[in-house]
Amino acid sequence: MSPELIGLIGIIALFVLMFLKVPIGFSMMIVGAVGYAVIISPTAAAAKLGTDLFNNTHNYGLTVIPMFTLMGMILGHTGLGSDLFKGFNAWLGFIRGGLAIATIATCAAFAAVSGSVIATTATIANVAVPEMRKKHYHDTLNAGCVASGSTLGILIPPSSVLIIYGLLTEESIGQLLIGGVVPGLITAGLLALTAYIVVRIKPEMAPETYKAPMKEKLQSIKLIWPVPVIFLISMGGIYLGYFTPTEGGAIGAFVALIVSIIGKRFSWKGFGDALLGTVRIVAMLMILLIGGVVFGNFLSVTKIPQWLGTYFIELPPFVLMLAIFTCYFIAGFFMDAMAILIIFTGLFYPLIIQAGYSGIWYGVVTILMLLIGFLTPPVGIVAIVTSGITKIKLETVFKGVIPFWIALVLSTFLMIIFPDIVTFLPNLMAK
Amino acid sequence: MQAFIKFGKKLAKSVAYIGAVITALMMFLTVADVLGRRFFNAPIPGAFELTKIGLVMLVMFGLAHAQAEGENIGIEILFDKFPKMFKKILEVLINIISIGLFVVVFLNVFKYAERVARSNQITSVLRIPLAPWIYVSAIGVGFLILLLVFELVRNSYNLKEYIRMKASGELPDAADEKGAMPQ
Repeated sequence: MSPELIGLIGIIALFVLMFLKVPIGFSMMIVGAVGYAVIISPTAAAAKLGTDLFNNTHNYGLTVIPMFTLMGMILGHTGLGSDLFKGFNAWLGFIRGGLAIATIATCAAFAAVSGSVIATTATIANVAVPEMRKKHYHDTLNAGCVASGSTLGILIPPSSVLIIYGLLTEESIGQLLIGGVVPGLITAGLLALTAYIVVRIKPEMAPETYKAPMKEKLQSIKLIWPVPVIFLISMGGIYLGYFTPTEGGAIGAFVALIVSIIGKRFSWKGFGDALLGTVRIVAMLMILLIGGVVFGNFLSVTKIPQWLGTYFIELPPFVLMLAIFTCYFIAGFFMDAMAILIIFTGLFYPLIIQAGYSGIWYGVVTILMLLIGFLTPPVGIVAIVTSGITKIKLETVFKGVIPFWIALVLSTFLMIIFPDIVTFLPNLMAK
Repeated sequence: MQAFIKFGKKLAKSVAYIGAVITALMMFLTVADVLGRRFFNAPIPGAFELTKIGLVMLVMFGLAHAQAEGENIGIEILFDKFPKMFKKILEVLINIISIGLFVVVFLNVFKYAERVARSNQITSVLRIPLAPWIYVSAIGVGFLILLLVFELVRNSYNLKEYIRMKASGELPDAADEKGAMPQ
């Protein structure tokens, strides 16, 4: 049997295992190891399993994940989400649909200190939806804003997904994180604009406005300040080359800790929970990542990426991107984002580099393509979490998400057509 | 059965607390290193090495806890549509496959540790031997296997109870669809 055919069988087996609810990381390890055993040798495959676990964890590049996760966890436990929402509401509440725009702004700001979509959804949904309901906003709009805004969690740095992409492809993690800044802001802007347009078309969605007195606006700054400070220190330091991404994360987490102590929001229990939560998430991500590595080893000996390369490389660049986008789009309907990221990066990244594209740019575009999947029925995880937390019906959430989903697609195409939007900041950094 | 499962979760959590303490130490160490380097021209020697070892520890001690808290998710879209009995059998099978996988991982991490110990590999700055940390990794995988065994016992018990209730007619047919089986 040719390696390519074994590879194809392996990919099918992977899907079968995953759809039988075998954990995604475990599925990739099983198929990767068995496939490698078939093509190379069982002894080599077993030995590789042993070395892969330790050697991929004993890696300085990866230490960035626990540090940024901890930063988000500490801030999540300090009630930052609620502060941010109050702050943005004071400034934006006077606009028609202002609370919806404030929700998206809160998501974007929270995303700047958190690298996880689910953490962002859980925090913001609890804070924003009750307030929007008080002002008689329609649940369709409420759910749409929270779910779509939360996806910014992995686009605006820090981003666990961008870091994992960096580790899989050996692209610079610092450059990837900085590369997410401008696309993140543009996407946030597009989402806010979408909320505004939705309310213009259907004013009954957001019947009330709120004009905060100047005093409240000024007071709100007191609530919001930690975010820009922490973001500028950690990301600014990485951008200017003062420290590595890991150090940026550690300093961010440390400043977050200080901020929580100054704000009298520190508790040993909260800190303990943040640490334990970090351990849990990092262990889970490592299982996925090691699964990805084991599966990747297998894919590379099947020669499938090279085989794909010979066919796809002939395509005009835009058609190639459109083909890849279609694959992500279809996979988004039924697969978990992390699994898509790991499997597709192994398949498509070599193609993209061969076609002469920037790996940093492709990383950010990959994230955007994943964001779309987060909101697509039936397994759009962010939509499901939003529904779970807010008790808004899942159908309503999916319905509410539609206009924002279009905005995300638009944003993705914007980045595909104008790659400089993504690459100009990281390029400046490299110089 | 409830107490048994609770014990498994508690054990995993206690082990994860070691990882939690290490996470805090990693943060403080890194901050001290950066401050020392930038402001006092006195970086902490080997901070990178210690951080790397810290990551290994926090991950390995977290494996069982992550599994216990259901962090290692699978795709449920098709699974949810399966008949109840099939789901119960599948859960047991998934446990067995997972245990098989990690037993192979465990044995090979152990073998790798022996190889590294024989060749006396050490870190470059602090000259810390690497082998002990690989043994610790194997122990972390061992805790994960233990937790998976706990899950296997629970899922087998659930399956057995389900079959018994079905056979004795305690379970109305409708329960097959609605999942009325006590966990």
